[in-house]
Amino acid sequence: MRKLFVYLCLLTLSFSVLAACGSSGNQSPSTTDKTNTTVAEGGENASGTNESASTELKGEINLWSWFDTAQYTVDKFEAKYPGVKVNLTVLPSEEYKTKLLSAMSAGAGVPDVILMDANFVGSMIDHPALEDLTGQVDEVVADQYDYTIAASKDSKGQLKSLSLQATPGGFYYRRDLAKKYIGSDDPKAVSDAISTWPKLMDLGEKIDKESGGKNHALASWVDFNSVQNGSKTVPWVTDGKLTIAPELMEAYDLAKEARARKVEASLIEGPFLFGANAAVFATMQQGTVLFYPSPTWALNYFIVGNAPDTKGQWGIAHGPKSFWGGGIYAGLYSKSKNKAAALEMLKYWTGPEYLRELAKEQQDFSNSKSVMKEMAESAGGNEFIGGQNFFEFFNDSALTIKAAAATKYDQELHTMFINSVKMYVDGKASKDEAIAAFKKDVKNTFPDINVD
Amino acid sequence: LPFFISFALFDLYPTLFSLYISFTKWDGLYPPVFIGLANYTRILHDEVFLIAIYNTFIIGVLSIIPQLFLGLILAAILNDKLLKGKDFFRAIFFVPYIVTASFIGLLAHLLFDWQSGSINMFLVQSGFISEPINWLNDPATARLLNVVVSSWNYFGYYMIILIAGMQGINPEISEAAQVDGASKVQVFWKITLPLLRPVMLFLVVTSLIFGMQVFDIPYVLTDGVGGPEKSTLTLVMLLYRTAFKANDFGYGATIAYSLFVLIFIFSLLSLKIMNRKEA
Repeated sequence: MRKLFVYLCLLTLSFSVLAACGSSGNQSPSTTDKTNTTVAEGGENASGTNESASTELKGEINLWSWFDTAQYTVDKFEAKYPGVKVNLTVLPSEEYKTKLLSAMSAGAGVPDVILMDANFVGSMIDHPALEDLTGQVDEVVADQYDYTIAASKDSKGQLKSLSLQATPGGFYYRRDLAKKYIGSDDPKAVSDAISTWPKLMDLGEKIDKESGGKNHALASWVDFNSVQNGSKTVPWVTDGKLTIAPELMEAYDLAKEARARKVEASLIEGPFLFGANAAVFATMQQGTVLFYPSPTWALNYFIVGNAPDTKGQWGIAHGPKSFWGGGIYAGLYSKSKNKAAALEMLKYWTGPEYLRELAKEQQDFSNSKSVMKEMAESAGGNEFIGGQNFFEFFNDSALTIKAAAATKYDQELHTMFINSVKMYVDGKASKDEAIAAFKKDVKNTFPDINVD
Repeated sequence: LPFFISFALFDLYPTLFSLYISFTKWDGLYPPVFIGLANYTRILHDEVFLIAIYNTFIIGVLSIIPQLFLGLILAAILNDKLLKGKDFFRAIFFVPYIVTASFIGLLAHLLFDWQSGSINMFLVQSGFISEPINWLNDPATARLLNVVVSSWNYFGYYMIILIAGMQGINPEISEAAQVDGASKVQVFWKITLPLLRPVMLFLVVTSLIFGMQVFDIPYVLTDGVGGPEKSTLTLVMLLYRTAFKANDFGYGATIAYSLFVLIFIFSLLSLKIMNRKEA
């Protein structure tokens, strides 16, 4: 009898591991979602909405987000549509995706407007709970930057979400270091000095030598991955087959060369794109790294926040190529009880009226070609970046970007790919071995993907 | 009865549901498709699963040894009747256990950071090493770091349980031994330790079960990746990555059930070994 009791206890204890299967998702302090701090807000008042329509529209909509600044949008929307009540629930960013996915799969308690971060939009875009927006938001799409639309479609080519922001990237630079090593802090001169990767490498080597290893051109080799990934045009998986984009193949060599010639300070050890960590943030304030290739939102969220004393010390230059990174996507719940109001909110959020206010009040670069052009012409200089025109710079950049369609595998493939480049950079594997290790990882995690 | 309702709802149902899921292919988007034992066939050929078992054994199970050792020594010292301030020290040593593991992981992450961590700065400046050690970039040191950090996290728990166990021992026995001229060390080896066996059994079995589930510390230390070269990818981390990052819930559930089987076997084994000594 006593023995039986012991076995029973054992069994119950062992069961706790299975029950933990469900909750482990919530305990993990996922640092992977660092890019989530991005706040993209756009808004629009759809062309068809006149004053009477906005007062007639009634109902309640539920909205979940992982960033509390969504309240800003909600307030503005509610002011314009007094009949509509928006129930905003802000969830911790590490739980957001899991909760949303379970709600969508269970078909219960799904928010009417569904927000998704760029790093996981690919894994949800095929979900049947997302409404096909094709034909419903034509006037919004017509004004969006071309590259953002590719990532808003699902694998069948249906428009399942709208990108709230455009997130073109540039090479943010410290003006003091630019003067010292390039001889000028003028954005044009700096852009010229790094117009190709070889030029950037030469400059990086020079910086390392002249400073005795104290200063570097880049914080980490991961920057090459960020830029190359943000400019690739081939999706990770097409028709079930894995393709390593040529841009990413190039990332191996660039990263290796940068490490060998000490172009980068070897700072980021983590697995993220634009995943600056505390050590990188510290250099922003200290001024030991010249370039930070990053998207629009990095100015507000990374630089201003972490190097508040460096106002006016910054500039943005065009690097060897244009790229993008991050952003927030919004879709509609296909079984929403209040679809009309939800659609109106989505249109407001991505339309010119709201985006104009947002750009003026928050200096946010959003996904509207017309409003951003307006801002580029009217906004004037931004003091933090030494009087450069933020909107003009990124508007130029955004128009030249190309992007690949998102796939549901992207987030994991990214992590695995960076690990593979890391092996090569650290000298633990040859390039071929690193690629082989990556393919093996892919095959193991996603047996469905055809890896040649 | 309320207990059974909540047990059925929050324990039994998820457990049975994940058993069902483990026989399906489910990406969380479309309804699960029944595929029979395919996931279990896959796991038998999965190299990464084997690597994860090995890592879990190294990190989770091996860290029991230093914890038990440290806990025992401290318990023996702090159980001394004549020692002053022992309550204070007991509390101090117990503190790491109260702090959540992920926070300790974060703290260790900062302390052992390659370029800016205090440990490397101290070692370099005091001349022990010339170049900072990249702790988390080498499989051996990364595992070692995980063992050290989780030992530090849990030794207080061992200590408290062992103190409780020691206080449960009838003092007359050791007093009698002391009267007969036994030294404190002799009393510890000949009386305390043998009588502590049931407590140690409890500790080893429960730690084995929890050790097999080690997750938070390696997760935080490696930013959720389990690197370098999968050297700190534990079973539960693999489960988490498979189910929630790769959205392969079916295979994730299969890993969970395989882990369950492993834990069950290990627990039976350790019970057997402990019982045989007793007999």
